[in-house]
Amino acid sequence: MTSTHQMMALHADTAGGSNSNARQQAPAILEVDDLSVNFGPLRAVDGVSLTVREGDIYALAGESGCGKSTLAYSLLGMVPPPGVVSTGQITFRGRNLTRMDRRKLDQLRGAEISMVFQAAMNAFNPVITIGTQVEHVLQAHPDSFPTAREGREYFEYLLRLVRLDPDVVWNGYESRLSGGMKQRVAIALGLLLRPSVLVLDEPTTALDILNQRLVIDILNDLHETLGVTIIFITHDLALVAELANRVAVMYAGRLVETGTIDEIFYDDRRHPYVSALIRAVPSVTADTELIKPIPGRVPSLAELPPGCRFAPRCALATDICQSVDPPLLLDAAEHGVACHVVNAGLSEKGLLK
Amino acid sequence: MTAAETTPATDPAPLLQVDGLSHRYPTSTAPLPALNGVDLDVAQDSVTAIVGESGCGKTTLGRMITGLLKPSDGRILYQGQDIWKLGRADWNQYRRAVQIVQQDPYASLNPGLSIRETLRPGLLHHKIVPRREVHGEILRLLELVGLDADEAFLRRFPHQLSGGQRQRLAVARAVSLRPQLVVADEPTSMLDVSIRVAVLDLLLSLREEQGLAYVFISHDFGVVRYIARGGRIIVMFFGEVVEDGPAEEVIKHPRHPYSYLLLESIPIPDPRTARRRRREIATDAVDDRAEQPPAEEGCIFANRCPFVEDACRQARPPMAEVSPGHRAACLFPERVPQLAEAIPEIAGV
Amino acid sequence: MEFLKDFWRILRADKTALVGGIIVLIYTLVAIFGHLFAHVSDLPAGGQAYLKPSGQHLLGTDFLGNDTLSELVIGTRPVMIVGVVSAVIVIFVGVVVGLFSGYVGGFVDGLIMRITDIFLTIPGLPLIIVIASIIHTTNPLVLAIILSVTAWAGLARAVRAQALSLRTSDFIDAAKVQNLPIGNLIGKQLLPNVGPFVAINFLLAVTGAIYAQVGLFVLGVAPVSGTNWGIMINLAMNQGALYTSKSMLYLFAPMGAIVLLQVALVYFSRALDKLFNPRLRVQ
Repeated sequence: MTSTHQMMALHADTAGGSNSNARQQAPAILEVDDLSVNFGPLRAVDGVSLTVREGDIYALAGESGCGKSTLAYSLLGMVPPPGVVSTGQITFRGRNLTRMDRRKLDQLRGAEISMVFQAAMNAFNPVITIGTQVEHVLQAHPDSFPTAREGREYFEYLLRLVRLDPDVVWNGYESRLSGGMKQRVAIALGLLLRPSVLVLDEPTTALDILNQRLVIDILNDLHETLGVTIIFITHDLALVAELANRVAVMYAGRLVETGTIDEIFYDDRRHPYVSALIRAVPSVTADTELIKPIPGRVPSLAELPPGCRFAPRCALATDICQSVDPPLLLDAAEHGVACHVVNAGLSEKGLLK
Repeated sequence: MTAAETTPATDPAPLLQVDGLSHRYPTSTAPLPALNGVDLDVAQDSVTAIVGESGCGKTTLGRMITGLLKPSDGRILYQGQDIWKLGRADWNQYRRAVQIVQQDPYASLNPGLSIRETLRPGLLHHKIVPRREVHGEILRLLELVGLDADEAFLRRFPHQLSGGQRQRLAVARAVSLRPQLVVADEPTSMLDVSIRVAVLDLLLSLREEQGLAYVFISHDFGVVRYIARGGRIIVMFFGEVVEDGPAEEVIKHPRHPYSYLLLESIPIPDPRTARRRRREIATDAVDDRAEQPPAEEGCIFANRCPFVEDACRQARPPMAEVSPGHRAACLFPERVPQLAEAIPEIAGV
Repeated sequence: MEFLKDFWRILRADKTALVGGIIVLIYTLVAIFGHLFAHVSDLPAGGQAYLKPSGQHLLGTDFLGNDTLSELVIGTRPVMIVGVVSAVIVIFVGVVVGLFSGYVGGFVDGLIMRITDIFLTIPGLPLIIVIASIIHTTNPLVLAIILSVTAWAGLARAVRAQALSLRTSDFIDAAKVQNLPIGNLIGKQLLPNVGPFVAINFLLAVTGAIYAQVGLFVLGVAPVSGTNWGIMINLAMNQGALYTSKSMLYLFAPMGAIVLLQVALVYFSRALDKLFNPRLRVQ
């Protein structure tokens, strides 16, 4: 177990990764406080608390059924029915999203918090040009630009940022563009109204290697150029490593770990699921002898084990793990882990709650 | 023969020979065919991984090897005979020898059939075991792939299984006929990350036990590297084979610019490596050349190649040997940089 | 066994279907065993015509003095036999033609569908009326065949559409790669997937056949002999039931029997959909 002091030293070391002092200065832009989302008796999101700060590239990571998509959709007030927010709240720049009325939410969506959906490439209307579709968006938000012309110019600027030829795209139909190109157009569209936060759902899952690389590079560029806060959902750890500076890992509806990218990948104090997951990914640079799958499978929300949800698959599970669901405990650097075994004995060394 | 001994001193006849395979879909208006003169030998008890992006023809090739699609040109030889000219009995034999595991575990199993009924028909049709032993054989197969081998499980339907379980059942179905070759088309890409390697390990252990050969189609080099240890990798681009060699060789020392481009673009699940590379890639390797169409004359990759020369546009470069057992369809393979310069970590593994 | 247990569970969950099922069961039992309890004669029993309902005659009597209820009971069997046999023919022909045509595709499919289209566009009821008046038959089997002559076409089309969409599925590819014979592909692989569809259409075919045959009898096109509900309505009308209120019960009783059965069949079909779809049947 490293001491808090050592952990702070670790964070200061990462150039390019977030420096914890610099991080503390960035104001919180989105705060999720003990949020739970229910689908009938099933809790897709269970008591999740996290903070996204301005300028973060924040990854919501996890496997199928962990609740990351539901959580992300809740951030936009778009929980798919019959889901309902049963506890907690979401605050955007101090405004409570969960209590906001429909009309205000609609205005907020797109203009301040925007989303690029999974396989957005399928969301284009095939019978009208891309340009026409963009115009529709501009017309729906007349306050965003003084004139339609300026709106179009800004969109074309964004297209160049995502490395597309504005002329080809504006006058073209969606059938002219490849899947990768359409994904980038969707990203440009998501940024059109100059939102502060852009949420992307599995931005690279449906793409080939080269297009994935392009989207990763583009998102990094956009983040630097426009300063937009990015939140993305993914099950792909490589994508997390390439993009994120901050990560929240979910498992079966619970938040099991939050921290900086380096904490998630290198820290000694990590959730066993996180370390096991990283070990389970066969990458070209990993040592094949060390690659190990996680035995068992993700529990269904209808049959959750008592206590820690990962316990049945965990090599470190002890008695308390089978009966008590571990709370997420943060250390001084706001690195949170929800594990009895990992957190044991650290409360004396200054763990915050 | 175990997986470790893949290059025997004497070369036995290949299990399957793909000879000049070409295919143009009847309704296609594209300038280039889906497959163009693909030559490939699949040895017994080997792993051949076919890598490429969507549209490269790898799925079409897989469907042809399994006999689901007839090529417009070229042949596939099994035991020296053109599979499309086989008589009924021989065709039946071929269809026992070559099986398939598909990508989508939610589509590859008949939702109206129980697990027992999924495995029974093949066993009965090919008389793998006497009729009265079929039940026992089904239980044995379930155990072999790590599923519950009990009566209650047999009565379940696919919708009651998880993605990983379904894929294991698909594998059981494939090996139930005791084939010589299994074509696996992206078998793990739709599974949860934490269990992908479990399915790959299953495939590897079955291979060892039964001396199977695999044609493993994937776009994920990480997965390919794991399953094709000791095997071969074939890289395809718009219907043509551009590189073909031992798996470790192709990954560490790609000799075709396209293979290099792919390997160099792979997202790496390691933040320090990713950060360092972000600073190093001053000009992006993927610029507007990435959207250029494949060239109809000369080298197919010419429109996108960062090292292209005039000579490249004259004629299609033949597959030339760049080192023993390793070939690439490039006139200037020495121009391809060392991958280890971009990703040092790759040299160490 | 599992099938029956699932069946019972589905019925208990859906009360409407359960009620429908019970009524259908009652009708079936009456059709099979009714003859043991009810008697009808052709001879008039003087002075007993069109009696009002009473303890002895729950639904009154007909123009000959026969007990209406007994006539209903006796009349159940021929009606249901024709209905069920006709439905079986319709389903069998429609499914076989549809699955085969959809699976095989190509020229054969086109040819079969053109023929099917002809049967689909011929007006069913008028054709049945014409055929029935030419072929005077009291044989329920022949009648059932006549009733099925066009009804299979719509089902064939619908089943073919299903087969077409299933034919490119991965699991059909897997079955082909195992070289399973075409009989297995159609019978074992495709058929379970059209199961719910077929089951419901079976019940609807029964209702259609019942209406059609009753219609034939009411119109007098089919020979009027023996006892069934259609004949009862026919006789009632011929005997002036439309003009006197005394025979109202005799007129409406068979109609009521028909309607009750049809409604019960429709309600019962709700359970069949779940029963034949593994995703809905198994927990």
